[in-house]
Amino acid sequence: MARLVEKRRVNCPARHVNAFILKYDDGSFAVKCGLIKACGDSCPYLEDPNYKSPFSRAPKYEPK
Amino acid sequence: MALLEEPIKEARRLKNFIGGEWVESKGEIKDVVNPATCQTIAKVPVSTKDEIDAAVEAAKEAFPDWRATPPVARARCLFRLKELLEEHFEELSRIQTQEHGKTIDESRGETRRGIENVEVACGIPTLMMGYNAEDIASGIDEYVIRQPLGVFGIIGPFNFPFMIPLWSAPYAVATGNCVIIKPSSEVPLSQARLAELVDEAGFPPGVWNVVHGGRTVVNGMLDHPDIQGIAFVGSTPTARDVIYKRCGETGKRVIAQGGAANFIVIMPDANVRATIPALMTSFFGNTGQRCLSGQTLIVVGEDDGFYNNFMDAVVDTTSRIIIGNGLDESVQMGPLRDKEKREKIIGYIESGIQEGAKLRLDGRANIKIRGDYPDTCFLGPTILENVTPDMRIVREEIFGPTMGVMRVKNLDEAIEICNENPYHNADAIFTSDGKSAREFQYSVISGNVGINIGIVAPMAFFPFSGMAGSFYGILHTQGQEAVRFFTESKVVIQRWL
Repeated sequence: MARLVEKRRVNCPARHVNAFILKYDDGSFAVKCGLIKACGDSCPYLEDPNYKSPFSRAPKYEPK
Repeated sequence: MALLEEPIKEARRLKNFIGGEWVESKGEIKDVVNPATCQTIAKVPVSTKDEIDAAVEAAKEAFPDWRATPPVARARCLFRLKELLEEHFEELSRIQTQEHGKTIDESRGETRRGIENVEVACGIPTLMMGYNAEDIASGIDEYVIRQPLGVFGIIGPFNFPFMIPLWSAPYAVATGNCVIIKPSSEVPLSQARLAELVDEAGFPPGVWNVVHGGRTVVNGMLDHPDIQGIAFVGSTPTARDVIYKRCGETGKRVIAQGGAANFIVIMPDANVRATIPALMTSFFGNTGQRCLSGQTLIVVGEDDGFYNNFMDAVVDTTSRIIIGNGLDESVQMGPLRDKEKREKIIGYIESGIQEGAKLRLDGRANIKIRGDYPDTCFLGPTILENVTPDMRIVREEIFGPTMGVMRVKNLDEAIEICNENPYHNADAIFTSDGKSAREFQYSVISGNVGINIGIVAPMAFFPFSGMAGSFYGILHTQGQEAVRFFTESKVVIQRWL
């Protein structure tokens, strides 16, 4: 049985909720989220557990 | 990024939802226009007095059965509604962007905040419990029960078309009342879709009604003897001079949330890296059309170096905000709701300049719109420095993407300016010093106070507060206060002989 090696909390931009990404030592992963049924295949983390939204609410501030 | 698909593809004529039926209005018809594309996306009726009367009648008829339905069963309808809202989350969000113009991320946030109110109201079996005391005198017990009152009117504004009616409606129906919602006629589509989902969720006919329209519907609600109370969100003149006043005259309960002209205070010890992004969403998020938006930035201290570096960073970051159609996910600021609002805001910018403010960033000129859209409703972010507390751009609600900036010597002076303003909705301080934060929280007259928070938006289980000039009434929307607003306390004292 695969062993859990990483648990990461993400802020899902698609639904504005928190979800958990679990990674196992055999390379598999799981998305734990109360809305997984409602989102179905459209969940961006199912395709890529390292998904990061390209969207930014505001321009990045870069200190000079 | 590609434009997301629009859920509204043709301009259908909206109907009222009365007594569980979709009813064609006999009133005049107005166009609902997407402010990004200027295309007509719906036709909304201006309903008549007879139609609001019919809705009150349907709600009144539904009330006895709904009131007698156990709270746990009423909550089941809300649980089902919550599920349906999750299923249609993206569709509802995109409708809001189409009708209002806000970015899709802002719409998704709005949908989430609306759903959270439904979630909180699902706890109604516990939320509406009363309390008791045994033996208040020998052999005599006393207890309080909370009972619904009947029919309530809910009047929504244009800036958060989906969420704001949900600050009230879930609590009203959860406690056993029936509601009539009048969405803003500028943005009626998400409420129309919500009512379809309410119907699907299993609420009985007449519990949740929607009547589109304007002044006639509002006056019909205010004057109707069978409406027990009104929850209103809109401008201060309407909240104070129409809703609050008329509810007083007719003996109705009232929540009347008005406008705002909020301050953000920057202390010299603020964490600049965290503060700048917070200012961007506070001042320019929702294109400034938010009663929690920052309107005036107060920079505290006499250090010119800090001020100049800080403002250079603010101006540089603001000037890079991407403007366009909110259904393009790369866009960070959408258009204003309509051309008239754009013109009003330009009028404020001009008045600021005339009164002596220095234009640092001009959103009126050379607006760079991503994509090929008419500039009719678009306005870029504008920054005005050297503003003073007596200027119109500080004292009046602008409701647009503008930032006025003033400097003061110390925190006391900043708090005094906040407190002398006619509005007291939401003010925030950015600081690393607990003492300054505590002093601000303690002394500022403001319904919602932020400490290193740019948009002080209370969660569904806290009241959406507001004080003098920004709020008229006693109890607020959301959470426990909403439950109290929608119920009457009945005291029972009993002795068995």
